[in-house]
Formats: sequence, C-alpha cells, structure tokens
Amino acid sequence: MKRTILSLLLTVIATGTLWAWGGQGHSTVAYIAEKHLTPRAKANIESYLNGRSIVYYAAWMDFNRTDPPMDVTRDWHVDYWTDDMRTDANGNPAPPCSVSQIKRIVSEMGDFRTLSDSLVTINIKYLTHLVGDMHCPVHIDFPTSRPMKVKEGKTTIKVHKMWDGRVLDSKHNGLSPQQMAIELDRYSATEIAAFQSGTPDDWHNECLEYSKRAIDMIPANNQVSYETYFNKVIDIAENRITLAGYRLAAILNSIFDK
Amino acid sequence: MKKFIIIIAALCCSLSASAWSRHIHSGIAAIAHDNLTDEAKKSITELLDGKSIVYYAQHIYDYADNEAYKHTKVWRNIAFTDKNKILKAKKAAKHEHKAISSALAYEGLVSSLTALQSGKLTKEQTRDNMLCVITILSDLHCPTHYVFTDNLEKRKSYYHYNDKKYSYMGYWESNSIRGTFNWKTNEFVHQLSRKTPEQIAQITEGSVTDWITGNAPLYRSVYDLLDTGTRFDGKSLRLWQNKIYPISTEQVAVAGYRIAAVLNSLFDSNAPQVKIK
Repeated sequence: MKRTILSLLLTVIATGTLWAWGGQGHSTVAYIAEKHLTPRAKANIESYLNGRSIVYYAAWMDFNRTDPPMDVTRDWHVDYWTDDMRTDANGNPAPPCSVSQIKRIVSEMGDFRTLSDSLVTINIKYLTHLVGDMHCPVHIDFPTSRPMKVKEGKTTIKVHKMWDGRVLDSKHNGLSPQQMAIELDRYSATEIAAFQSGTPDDWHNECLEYSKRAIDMIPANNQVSYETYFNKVIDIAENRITLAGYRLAAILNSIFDK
Repeated sequence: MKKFIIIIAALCCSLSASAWSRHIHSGIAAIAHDNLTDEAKKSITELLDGKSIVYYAQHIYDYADNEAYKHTKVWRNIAFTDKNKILKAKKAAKHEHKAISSALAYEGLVSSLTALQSGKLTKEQTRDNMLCVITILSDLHCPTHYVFTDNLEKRKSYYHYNDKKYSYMGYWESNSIRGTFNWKTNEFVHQLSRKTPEQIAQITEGSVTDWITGNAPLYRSVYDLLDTGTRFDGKSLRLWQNKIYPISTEQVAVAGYRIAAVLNSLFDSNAPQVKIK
C-alpha cells in the first residue's frame, strides 16, 4: 500500500502537477528574501541573472520540471520523513531531496567566483526555489502518507492541490506576490535573526512538525470541509512562506555577501 | 487621398483589433513612467491634469468610439513585406485582406509624433496625440501586431488545451505573460525596469522607424513558435510557454524604455532627441 502511495506521489510529481505553493507562493518567498538581501549580495546575484530579480526565477524549477535536461532534479522538490533522510517512507534509499540539495549547493558555492557563470546562475535558481519547497508542509514524504482530501460541497479536493496555491488564493486573492510579501514581512530584526539561525537540517526538523500538524488535521476518512481545514492551516502556510523568505535571504547572503 | 480616407473610415466601423491586454499596457506605461526625466514627468503630469501615463495607458482603446479617437481604430497593427519592410500606407489600405488594409499603426504613429514635434498643438491636441503614441508604440512591441503579408495564414494559428481551442493571437494578448507571472502593474516595474544605462542606450538607439523595423525579424520568428492545431497537455503547454515568456517580458521592457525615450525627447529639452525616421 505504502509503495503504491509513494509511486502515485512520485508519478504526480513527475508530471509536474505538484507545485508547492504555486507561482504565487514561490514569488512571495523570493520577494521577502530579496528585501532582506544585503546590497552586495543582491548586486552579485543579479549580475549572474542578467540583471533580473530572483523573483523572476522563483518558480523556474517548476516551469522547467518536465524538460528532459531537468530530469535529474525531479525528486529535489520533496523531503523525507526520516531524520537522516537517507531512506524514504518505505525504508528504501532516498533519492536526493530539497534539504540535501540545498546543503550541497551551499557547500559548492563556498567560493562562487571560482565556478562557471552558468553553474552559479543555475544554483541561484535552484536555491531560490528549493528553500520554498522545503518549507511546504505537504512536500514531505511521510510514512503515513495517504491520499488526503477535503470536502467542498459535493466534490473533494486533494490536499496537495490546496497547498499549491489555493490556500493562499483563498485568503489573499487579488494580492500580487509583491503585495503579499509586504503583508507577511512584518517581523522585527530580532525575530528575523532568530528565524534565520540554525541550519537547513534544523529547518527541516521544524518543517516536519508543521507537516505533522497539517496532516493530523485531516481525519482518516477525509471528512473535513475545505473551509474548516483552510481556517486551521492558513496561519501555517503564511508562517512557512515568510520563514522560507527570511532563510533564503540568509543562505544567499552567506554565499554572495563577499 | 479622399479615397484613402474613405477606406480608413469604412474600416473603422468594422474592426476588432487584438492588442496587449490592459494589464500589459499598464505595465508598459509604468515602466515608461519609471524612466521619465523629472522635467518630462512634470510636463506630462500637467498635461494629464495630475494623473500619470499609467492611468491613460490604453485610453485610446477605452474611448475608441469617441469622435476624437475614431480614426485611431486602424492604428493597431502594422503590415510588413516578405523582406521585412514596412508596407506603404496607400498600398496597405488598398489591400483586399482586411488584416493588411487595416494595419496602419505606423502611419498613425508618424502622424502623432509629427504633430507633437511641430509644437503647434493645443493642450488637448498634445494630450490626445501623446496618448496615441503611448498606446501605439506599446502595441508595436507585441509580435502579433506585426502583419506579414507573406504569412497571413499563421495569424489564424490555434492550439488545443483541455479540449478547448485557443487562438495564438489571443494568447499573446495576455497569457504570454499572465500564463507565467501574476504581476500587478508595480511588479512590471520591479521585474522589468532594471536595465543598465548602457542597455537602455542600446535599446533606444536609432529612430522610431529603426525600432519598429528592427523588431520585425524577431516577431516574424514568433509566428513559428506554434504549429497550428497542436494539442497541449499540462506538461507540453508549460514547456511551450517557457519559450514565449522570456520574449514577451523582454519586449514589454523594451517598449517601456522606448516610450520613455520618446516622451523625454518631446517634453524635456535636455533629453536626447529621438527621430521619427
């Protein structure tokens, strides 16, 4: 059963229909991050993006997910339940995931000036996206994964689809990503520093807790209405997006502010 | 000449021109506004009674049925020969194919710019002609506003998605950007008004006519990006859109910078002059 669920999950990922946060959420993460980049980091980053903003590329990995040259990144959008992330939900060796790729890229970019421009450019695009993905509660492959759904009238909606943009749209429909970033980016410097402390592994462990909460809210029989679920998770969604933005800024500053 | 005017007047009653959608027109105007000199901005604001050009980004469309703008209904598209040369107005106007005979945007643009450069207009005339320039120049950076006389069939290109049929021309009007980015007007500025002075100088180099003819080869190639009748699923549609949005976003930026260059040239005596031809 678990294998079937995992296969289904991976199949859906491969077809590109699972987009954590959607373009709206990813762009919001990038806008928040951009606002917290140091001027030197921002200038260095944009010099590799032909002057463009990281926001322009926030969902680039999703847009190009099914392009054959991007096959290698297929599994990078999700993380795994286990602490060491060496095994998947079934105990099989885990393919590369968001956190492992973020750590690899950060290590690789230690002295970014020695790397080719194309490698630095694509690593910026990867980081900008993956830090957002790793903060999405439904992008963790749980051992208890099941086809979670919520009810809306006579129809049902897949929970993952809700998180792919609908959760944010339900509350913030009409706001652009830039406007949403203004609404969410309201923490003090001290609070932001606290959010940015730690490592990607720490952040992953924190994400696990949020994921459990988001999943525990769905009863086994999926008998929960969209509205009830939405009201319980919207704060989590906003929190995850905001923290992803701050942490993306921290990672990019650590690489490019030199 | 009288015959030419009659042809235009007849066309005014029957046209349904495609164009950049409102959000793109506003985005382009906002980029232009962001690149106006202080002096130009001041003069233009006075001309628009305190409002900005963004407010009026597609004013001539909104008031196309008003007497003052009726004649601009044929100022949407531009016709090109197979050698990528602008088709002369008289030749275009007599053409049997409506897409060509109604493609008189270049004449409209030249007429408005010439009037503005004359310095002999009333405030109202200056305002009306300026608004024509803003909208037309904006549209002349949309590939589907370029009608290639040897390639008319491609203007009917369409694709299927989710068992529905969509026009390629229609796709460019809005979804060439909205299919990828949910930008409001301020985000067009944030994302696209970020060229260096050297890049801006390169974009605005030459005359208005040079810009338009310079666009033609790229815009001709845009028609080849869709094999008409293609049936897309979610995956293939996304990959196809990946080829288009870098072009559409860049053309929107270029349009904004060029409109700013023209307006600066007209309303700031210290700004570099932009020639029509």
